[in-house]
Amino acid sequence: MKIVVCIKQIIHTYARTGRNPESLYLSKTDQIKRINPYDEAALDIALNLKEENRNHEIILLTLGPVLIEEQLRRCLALGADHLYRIDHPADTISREKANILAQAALSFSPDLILCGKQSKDHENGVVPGFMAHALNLPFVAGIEALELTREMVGAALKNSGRGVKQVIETGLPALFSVDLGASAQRMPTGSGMQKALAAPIHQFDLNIDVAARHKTAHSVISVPCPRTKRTLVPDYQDDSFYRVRQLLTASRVKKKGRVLTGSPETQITELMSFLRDKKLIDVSGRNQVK
Amino acid sequence: MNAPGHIQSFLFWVKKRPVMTAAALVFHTCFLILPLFLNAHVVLINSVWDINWISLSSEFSMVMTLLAIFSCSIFMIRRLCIRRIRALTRSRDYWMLLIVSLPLLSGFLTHHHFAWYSFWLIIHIISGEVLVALVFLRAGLFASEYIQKRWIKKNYWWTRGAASGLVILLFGTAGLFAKNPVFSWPFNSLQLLVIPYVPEVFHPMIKVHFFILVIILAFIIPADLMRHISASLINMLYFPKSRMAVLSEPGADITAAATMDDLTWKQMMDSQACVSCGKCVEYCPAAISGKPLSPEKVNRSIADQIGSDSKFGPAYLNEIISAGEIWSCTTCMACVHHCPVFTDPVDKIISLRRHETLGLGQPPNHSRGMFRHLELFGDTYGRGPALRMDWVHDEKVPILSDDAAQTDILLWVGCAGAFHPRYSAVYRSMVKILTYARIDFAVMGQAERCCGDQARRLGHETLFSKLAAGNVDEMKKFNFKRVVTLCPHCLHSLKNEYPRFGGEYDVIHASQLVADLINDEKITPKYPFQTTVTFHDPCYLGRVNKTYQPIRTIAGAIEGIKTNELEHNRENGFCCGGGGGQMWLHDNSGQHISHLRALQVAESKACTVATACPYCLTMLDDGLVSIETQPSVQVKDIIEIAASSIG
Repeated sequence: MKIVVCIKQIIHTYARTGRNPESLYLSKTDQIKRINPYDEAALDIALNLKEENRNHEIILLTLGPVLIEEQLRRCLALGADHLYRIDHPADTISREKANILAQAALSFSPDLILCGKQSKDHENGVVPGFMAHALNLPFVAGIEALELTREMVGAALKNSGRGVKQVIETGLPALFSVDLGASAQRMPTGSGMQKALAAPIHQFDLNIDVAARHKTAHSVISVPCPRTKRTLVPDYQDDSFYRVRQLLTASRVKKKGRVLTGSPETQITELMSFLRDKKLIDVSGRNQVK
Repeated sequence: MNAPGHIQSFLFWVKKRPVMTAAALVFHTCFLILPLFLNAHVVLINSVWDINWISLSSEFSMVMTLLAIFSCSIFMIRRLCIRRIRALTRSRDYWMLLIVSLPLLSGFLTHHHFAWYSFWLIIHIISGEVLVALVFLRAGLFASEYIQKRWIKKNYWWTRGAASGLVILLFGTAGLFAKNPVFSWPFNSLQLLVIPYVPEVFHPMIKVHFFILVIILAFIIPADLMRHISASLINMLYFPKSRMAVLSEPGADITAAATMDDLTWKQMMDSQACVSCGKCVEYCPAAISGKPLSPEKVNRSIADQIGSDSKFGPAYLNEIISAGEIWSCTTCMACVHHCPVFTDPVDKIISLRRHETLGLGQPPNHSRGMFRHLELFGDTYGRGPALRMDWVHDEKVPILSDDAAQTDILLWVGCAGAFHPRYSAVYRSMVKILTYARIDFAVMGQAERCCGDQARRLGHETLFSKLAAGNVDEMKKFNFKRVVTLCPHCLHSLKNEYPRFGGEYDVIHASQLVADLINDEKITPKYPFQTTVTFHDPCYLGRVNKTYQPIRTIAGAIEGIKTNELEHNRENGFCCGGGGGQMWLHDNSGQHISHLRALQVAESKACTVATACPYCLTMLDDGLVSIETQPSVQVKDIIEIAASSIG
């Protein structure tokens, strides 16, 4: 049985420590390149199926330039059979990406297509749905586990919320989008990694025009807030009062004000004029108690 | 060789097990001196080969023989009566004792013409020959194993016999130089029982029989006995300069051992040196806390498999040594330190771990998250290099960069210092001390990655190599004289394991630096600290890198501190249970090692326990909290104590 697993190489932003609003307050070390963890979960499901039946063939499909070859090959080392890359820019709209992936997947005539539920960079989660629509396949979103109960019938376990789990059966070929599960992290074996390092990354040539009509357009991009200058973890030895005060003084609000000095009379005069100037007390005399 | 350390270790065992230590010392001394300097032997050798040397007086040799026999009987009684030792003892150990005591007994009886003079003489000769043959044959077998592993690389059935034969040939050629073979060779008296004394027949037959008898002995006796004599001698010569410095000897392949064939020659031979004395088991923190590990069993299981190839191929090591055993190890090196014959069980355990992690891709589940974090983020917590300088808070810490690449001291922060809130506070104290002492220091900042030590201890050699190579490349861009770190694991990696990647640095621990500063009076501890302090020596600072005094110097220099030593201190320090990747392994068998150590600390009635390692700090803290002593014992890093005293 042929299983196609669509994987995405993402640039995972885990911090914003930069100072420049032009770069959206990102600095060089704020991002790491990795494979979308939801796609790794999809691969995990495919590998579980392969463990039960060695005749299944797992084909990895990725769109765009190679960003992190090491992680792509690691996915191959975990047990996938082939790795294909579609040579097309990946920064298009979701619908176009879904069309491209669907066309590519279709060329393998797969029995099962697995994708991650969403990606960790944009987190839209629409590509699997669009793909299923383009290919006119049965589609279940956000599954945790998959079993082949009978020949060409898949039973998917899905979390329906509030602790309720459902098993949804569908005939194959079908498309499933996979949510993160609680399964143990897989690790490649030494020999698997060696084979993966030597394996070719097949290039996929698309000769069909798959450009979708853009129905939406960007207008305003608002810039996130930069990281606060100090992100303190208060000193563990201090009293709770001081720890809270440390947290409060870490904010960027600068305290304005000055200390009044001099004799009590001058201090009172200054205080009264301060209150009047800030209109904090009413001097018109209209609201006096009669 | 560390003379003060060995003396301290010896005194520890004398206090702990006086009878056995005395007996072993007496036995080995007498047993080595007697055959060489006994009057009868010297005369014999002189009459055969014409060589002369000093001999002992007969009263002295009698006393020594009796002492040696007496210690043999102590050994025998110990093996028979103490249950714990009887469990470890196998039939070969009894045979060993018998073969060893026979020359002594029979020699004594022969000398005093007790009864059946010729019978005891023959027993003396045969047992003496068996003993000598075993030692030399075993050495010859080690040589054949080496040749086999290095050059032949295949297990031919005849190599062992060929090696034995060669040894006997060499040994036997001595007989060819004998002056008067007839009466000087004691062996000939045995010949007279079977061959008539016709000179033309007798003389050549002596030499032939000598060869044949010893060859027969070589194959009849399992040759399992007395391996430890040759093996321990070779072990002693073979050791790298500091035997706990690296996990495998320098220049050798780093093995991931799936089967017996994957072990190096040194590992195989070293397991044969084990005499099942049980010192390692007595000292192993995992064994004491009830986990399945026994370093003695690891050595013995491997030694048992040598030479036992079946037609199905060599034995799989994970069938004879279970997963529970190898993953319980904290790599504290107590077994390596206390072993009297210099074996290294930790090296083999890590080889097995490498096979599980890299070969099979099956490390324990809880450690896989840590590996993934190291792969993606370069630190064990998964926080990322962008946040690596957050620990600084308000302190002024210079950061090395392309423009400012020169400093005196590189302060290596490590994952705990950068991300663990408790340990970041300790690092800030260190920065205070360095600033106060006006030392030119800097940190690597976001270019620093995890040293890779815990990945290596868990067997993930490729990840360790990647991290180490990356760190070395980054450090090449900067110019510094020394590296100072507060984490002994980073210290061990940077000092002992990075040279393999091209990074040779002068690495010291922060406690050493601070102790030197105090001794040179560059800083003076002003404020007193009224408390009783006891010391927990971290395994990787103490036993492995042999640094005990600095933390004591620092505490001693602060007014008001009364110090108190634990029973298990310095080289005999008890592990906190956090090393060897245990922080990520969540082992549920037996007790917690940290709990046991906390009980020991609480017994010492100290108010504070000073340590110098982030893992020890965390584990002791957890342990002391869980045993709920009243009043509670505080755990502090020695640098915190120093910084609070400096003000």
